[in-house]
This record gives sequence, structure tokens and C-alpha cells, in this order.
Amino acid sequence: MSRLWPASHPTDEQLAELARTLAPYGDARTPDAVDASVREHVHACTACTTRLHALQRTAAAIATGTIAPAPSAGRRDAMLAARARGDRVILPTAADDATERVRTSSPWVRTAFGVAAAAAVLVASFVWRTPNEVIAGTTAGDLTLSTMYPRAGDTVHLTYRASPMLDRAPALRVRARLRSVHAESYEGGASSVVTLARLHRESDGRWHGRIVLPDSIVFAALAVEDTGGTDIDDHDGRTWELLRADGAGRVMFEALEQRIHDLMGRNWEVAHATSRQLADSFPDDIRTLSWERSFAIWSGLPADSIAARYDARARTFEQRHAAGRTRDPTTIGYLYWTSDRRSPRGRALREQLLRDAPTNSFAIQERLFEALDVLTQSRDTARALSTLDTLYAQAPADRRVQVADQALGLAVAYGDTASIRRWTTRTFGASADEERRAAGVFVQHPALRAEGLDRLRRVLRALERPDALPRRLSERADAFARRQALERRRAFAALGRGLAQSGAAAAALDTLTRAADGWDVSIMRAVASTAKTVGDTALEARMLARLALDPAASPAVRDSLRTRLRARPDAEQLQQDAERAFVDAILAEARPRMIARSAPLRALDGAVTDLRDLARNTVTVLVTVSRYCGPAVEVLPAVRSMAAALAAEGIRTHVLFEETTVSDSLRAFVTEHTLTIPTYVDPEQAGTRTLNSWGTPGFHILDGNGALVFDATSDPEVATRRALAVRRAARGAVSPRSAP
Amino acid sequence: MASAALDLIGAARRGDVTALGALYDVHAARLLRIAFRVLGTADDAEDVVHDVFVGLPEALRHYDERGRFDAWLAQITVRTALMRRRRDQRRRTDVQLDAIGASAPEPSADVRIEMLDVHRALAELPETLRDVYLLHQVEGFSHLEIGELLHISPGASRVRLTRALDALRRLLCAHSDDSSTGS
Repeated sequence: MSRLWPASHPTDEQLAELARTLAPYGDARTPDAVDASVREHVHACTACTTRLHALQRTAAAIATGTIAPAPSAGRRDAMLAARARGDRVILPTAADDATERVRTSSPWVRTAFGVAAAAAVLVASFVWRTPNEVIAGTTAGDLTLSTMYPRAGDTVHLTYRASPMLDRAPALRVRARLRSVHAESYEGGASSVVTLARLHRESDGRWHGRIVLPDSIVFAALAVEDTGGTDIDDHDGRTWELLRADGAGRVMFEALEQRIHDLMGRNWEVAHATSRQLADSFPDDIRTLSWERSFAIWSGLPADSIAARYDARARTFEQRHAAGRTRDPTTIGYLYWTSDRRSPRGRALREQLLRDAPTNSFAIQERLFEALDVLTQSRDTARALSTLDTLYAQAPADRRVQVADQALGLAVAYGDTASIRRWTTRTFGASADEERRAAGVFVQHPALRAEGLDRLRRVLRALERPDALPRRLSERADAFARRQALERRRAFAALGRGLAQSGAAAAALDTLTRAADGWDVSIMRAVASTAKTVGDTALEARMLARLALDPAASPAVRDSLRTRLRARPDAEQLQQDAERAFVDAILAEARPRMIARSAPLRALDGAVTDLRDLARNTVTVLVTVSRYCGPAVEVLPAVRSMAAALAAEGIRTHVLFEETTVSDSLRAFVTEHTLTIPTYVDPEQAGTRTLNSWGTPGFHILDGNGALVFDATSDPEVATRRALAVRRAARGAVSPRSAP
Repeated sequence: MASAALDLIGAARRGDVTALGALYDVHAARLLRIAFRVLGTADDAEDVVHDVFVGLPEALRHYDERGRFDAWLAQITVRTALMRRRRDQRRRTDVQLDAIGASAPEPSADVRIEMLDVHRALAELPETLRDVYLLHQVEGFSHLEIGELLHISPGASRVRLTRALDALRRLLCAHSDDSSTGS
């Protein structure tokens, strides 16, 4: 008989639980309940004490008698090296507590919502969807990819642990923004969004699927959504990514480059980090220098290490390719582009580029500039357009858009019908919004106006179809529907303007009325102007009242418009209608989420406050910024102006730096940028997680009742409108039309 | 949690390699033991720990500082190890006895025999029972947590633990008898 296992009383499970709870080596952080009577019994019973000791010794024998306590030599360095070269592993992380709370609908959450619902009384809450399901910061699930770096033909297996937002969906799918080597920056360009996989729930409760990237695709950003596109998990804006690897398993240059393109407009810092990774992975490839140069310029910090690093690498390439020695067109192009173009070396490289590689992308750009320079001297537009035709034919794909854009401007100014038609076709694509823009050009030209009006009517018919526009990766169905409606209004505005120019006043008015909903400043201006042309002073006044109310209007414009409107007998009614239209239109974009978790923020003076307290009882704009993000630094003056304007309306503005500590350098930065707005850091990064903030700048609107009202925007103008709309709705100054 | 530790975690979350290295220094050995217990081979366990730290900065975005960091890391390590085992379909049928106590203070002969007995018995347990036993008795996870890790109900975890204890008892009795009658 073993010394370890004498027979006796309470159950093995009870004793095992007691042993686990007492174990010094285990985590035992959430002990299952151990009945006090079991403890007492064991304490009093020799046999059970022996059994307990046996259990403890067995577990201890396993816990202590195991492999060497330290990993093999070199493993640590190998891990760090893997990180440095860009290796990433998506780990099966546990669900956070808040997620679990939502799923189980615990009394805690119900209470939180109950309190919030009671507090967010009457006015504001019925305007937007009741925040009954989503808690800020808990919208992301976990998508595990069998590899992030598939080679051509590789199958990528997907396992998705759904967020509470999507877990109840009957079916899920994975959509992807696909990028080939020629795709351009930002979400549009030559990228396309397609459904790549359907996910199926299996017995483990997870969703599974698999995908194979088309061979031409070098980068894909993935998001999971329900089949209606009602809710989308895009990893809080990060998306999940696939980067094409070559046959040896090494991430391709083009994949990393397309990642940078894809991150533009989403996260400048990660894009910059990727450019560095690109340079580190392909140190001898001169194309990497162009990205580093761009980030060095965009950073706006000449003394920064970004610029220093760029300068050092540029010198290396300069030494390697002394002017005139290289014959490779790509190398000549990049050497010229990254040189000081006014220097003797820059001029020599330009000469070589135009002589030896005249159809290189940079050479085409130089020849384009040259043609435009010649035009300013000669005023011979026909000759310039002819030159641009030649350039367009010779230009590589990445440069054609630039040539066409310049040529279309010239053609319109020149008024040549054939040129306008040709360059419009070359400039715009086939989607409904591109077609609308092309038709808008035609409408402005008398000889093409009839054709333009017909094209606009076709666009309007096309926009009735749900697939007339491509839906973006992170665009929910409701946002997509709003964008389609906006596109229709733009088409109606262009059509109305064209009809008015054709003398069809009645038709123009009928059309313009359909463009007048919503809140788009350019459309409102167009409608006001056309309404005046056709003599509809009521519609013109309606639009002017809205333009006077828009916060983007300058004080001078606002005063002028108000003075004109004040003379009208219905001035007060116009003002009220404009207020109502403003609140209705802006709050239609609301997607409120409760801030249910604590998020401590530290002020520069060291005081700690909670994110929820920061916005208590007052509509607040919280701006997330990073000192290391070019666009965020650039927007700071606008933040200051916005804060001053909103303060007059009783709206507070706070700035949250994506840093964990208050450092002297941060204080110096704040002083240098004359930020007198209350400023915080995020010591536990709970703030940015709660805000689903990824990429800066981000403007977040909090309604004073514990709700984050909209998805973040990076545009201070949009943020200003949103904050004012929430404030006006909450103040009860306006009764939205959607009120019961 | 101490602010220094939080700073370290925060820095690692931002991809700071120095902070990541510091976290590795503190936690890697323990995670290696955990991974080894699940996988049974040192090489696989080291690979898992490697993966855990390579993926840690991104994974930390999901970490809520209210919980214990080392416990959270242990959970991720177990999950990663289980995934690897499922993927590789390499079921172990024996334990690397050579590795037992390799760098621990030399135990007494009795204790070493006891440890070998325990490891042999453990190796003979079906994987489903061994997992629950290790996670509960050695790593200290609750049945609720084990349920989530292994995709079974907490009740099933309890049942498996009882069966594991029963099987271990029988196996250890048999080993003990072998020892006393044989060599």
C-alpha cells in the first residue's frame, strides 16, 4: 500500500479543494468554496489529515520535481529578436471581466444600466439607441489566426471567440480589405473589401473558418461581423492582419509597405513603426528610404531622432550610389527623390533621372511639373494637355492619378469638350460616387450639361441599389445607409444645380428639396445658392439659417447671415427649425455606450480622477493624443480653438495623452504647445481601452450621464458639431423630431 | 499591483523590449514549468513560452489590471500550450523522467522514488484527467477557470478531478507494491 493514499472520510474532491486552497505553489486566486465543516473535520481527524497531506505531497512532488527552473540559454534573446524583426503571435487571451459581465447579464450590470437609464432622462436618451447592450471598451472579441504570414496558397485557419456584441448572432463572416502591390494609402485606393469566409460555431463554443488569400493580395485587414453588417468587430479599429510571406516564410516588402498604406488615417504611430520595421527588414532596399523620409517630414520635428535616423540612412545610400554610378531606374528615382533637390547632387541626379529613366514614376512627376511650368509661361493649354496625354500613356500605375487630376483641371478651365470627356474617364472610377463626381464635372460645362444630367439621373437610380457603393470594412450597416443617403443628397444637389443652370426652375426646386435633409455644409451652400437662382427665397432662407448655425461658419459669415435673416418675419421659426435639423442630423450618427468600468486618469499636478467623474453632469469632449503622432501634434491648435468655442456653450474639453506617467518632457511639451486645457495621462491605459481608442487624435464625446455617445472622430469640426448637438439635446433647448 | 509592476506592464504593452525582457526574467521560469506540465516535453514548453512573450505586448491590451498579472499569464500559457497540443496531435505517453528535479536540490532517495512514482502515475492518466488534475491541484485553477480553459463545464471538471484522484490512488498503490516487492 502506498504511503500516500490511506483510505478515509470526506470525498476526495473536497479534500483536493482544500489542498489546492492551501497550496503555496499554485495561484489559488479564486478558491472554490471549501465548507468550513470539512476544514474542521480534517483538523480533528487524523486519517483525513493524512489524506490531505498525501494530496499535498503528490501535488508538491509534481510542482517541484520538474524541469530546470530557467529556460535554455539564448531563449530570451531569441524571443526579443523575434519581436524586433516583427514576429507576432496572437495569443488566446482570456475574456475580460466586463465582457463576462455583459454576457451573463449580472445584477451588477443591470444596476449600472438602471442607474444610467434613470440618469440619462428624458431628452437625450430617446434620440439615440438605448445603450442596453454595449459597454464602452468591450466590443472586441479574439480572432486567432493559424498564421499571420501566409505564403501563396496557404490556408489560414480562423478561430473566433466572439465579443458579447456578436456572440448571439446566428451567423458570422469575416470581411477583408485586400491590398495588392499597387493599392494606395487610406481606406480607398485600389483596395477592395470582400467577404472572405463564413464562420461556423462548433461544439467548443468558438467560431471557426478558414481562408486562402488570392495570390495577388499581399496584405489583408480583417474584421468579423454578423451577416447583416449590423455589428462589426474590427478589433477596436486595429483590425486583424495578414501579411504575405515569400516561399521562405519571410514577410514580403510589399506586404509591409501595404500595411503602411492601410494604416494611413488610422494609426500614424504604428504606420511609422512599420516603416522602421520595413527598413530594418530590408536595409539594402532604397525604397525604404522614401517612407522614412516621409515620416521624418510628417513628424514636423527636425531635431527628432526620426530625422536623425533618416539622415544617417540617406548618407549610407548616397555613399553607396555616388551620382552617375548607378544605372538602375528605381534606384536613380529614389536617390533623386530623397536628395536635397536644390543641391548640385540633386540637380545632377535629376538630369540623370530624366535622361536614363524618363518613364520612372519620379521622372514622370518631374516632367509633369515641368509641363505645368511651361504652361505658366506659354499659356498654351492645348500643348500642355497634349504633353500630359503623352505622360499619362508613359506613366506607371501609381503616377497616373496625379497626371489625370492635373489634366482634368486644365481641360475644364480650357473648356474643350473632348478633353473633359477623356480626362474625366481617366480620373474617375465606375462606382456610384465616382460617377456622380464625373457627372458633376459635365454639368458645369454647357456643352456637356445634358449628358451630365442624364448621368446624374443614372447615378440616382443606381444609388437605390444597396450595393451601389462599396461598404467599408469597419462601416456598420446603419452608417453605410447614412453614407448612401448622403451620396444621394449630393447627387440631388448636383442635379438641382444643373437643372437650374438649364433653366428648368420647377424641376430644380423639386430636386433641391430632396437634397436639403441632413447636415452637410457643402450641400446646404449649393442648395441655398441654387434656390436663390430659381427664386425660392423660403428654401434659401432655410439653408442660410442652417449655415448660420453651423459651428464651422466664421463669426463674420455667421453675423452676416443672421443680419439677413433677422429682417424676415419668420426669423425665429427658421432658427428653431435649423436647431432641430442640426440636432436630428448629428445625433442620427450616435452610437452610445455606457462607461461601466473604472478608468483612473492622472492630471499633470498628480491628482487622480476617474474617467466617469471627468464627464459627470457636463457634456465633455475628451481628446486622445500622442506626442509621437504627427497628425495629433498638428491638430493641437485646433483643439485649443475648439475648447474655447465650446466653453462658451458650457461644454468642457480635456486632453488625454497616451502616456502612463507625468514626465518633465510631457510638461515641457504641454507648455510649448500652450495647452491650458485640463490635461491627463492614462496610468493604467484603462482610459484608452474604455474609449476603444486606437490611433490619435481621437475626439470622444461624453454626455454627462455616463455614456460615450459616438464613435471617435479625428476631425475637430465634426467633434464640435457632435458636442453641441448633445449639449442642445440634453439642455432641452431643442425637442428632436424623434421624441415620442 | 505595485506601480513599478504596472509601469513595466504598460511599457511592455507599448512594445518596449526592455520591459518585455524584464517580464521574461520574472515570469518565464514559472511559465515554462506550467507549459511543461501540460505538454510533457521541454522543447515544446520552451516554444510555448517563446510564443507567449512574443505575443505578449499585443495580448496585454486585453489585460485588465484588476486581476493578478501572474495568474493571467498562467492562464494564457495554459491556453497556448493546450492549443499547441491540439494542433500537434502529439500525445505523450511517458514523462521525461530525466528532467525531473534536474536543477532542484538533490532530494533524498525516498523522496526521489516518491517523485518518480508520482510522475509515472501521472503519465499513465488519460490526458483528460491529467489536465484537470494538474490545473487544479498543481496550478491552482478553480473548476470554473478549468472549465473555460478546457471548454468543459465546471461540473465536468469536478467529475474528472475525482476520477483522476481515484486513478492516481490506484496507480500509486500499484507502483508502491512494485517497489516493495521488486527492485
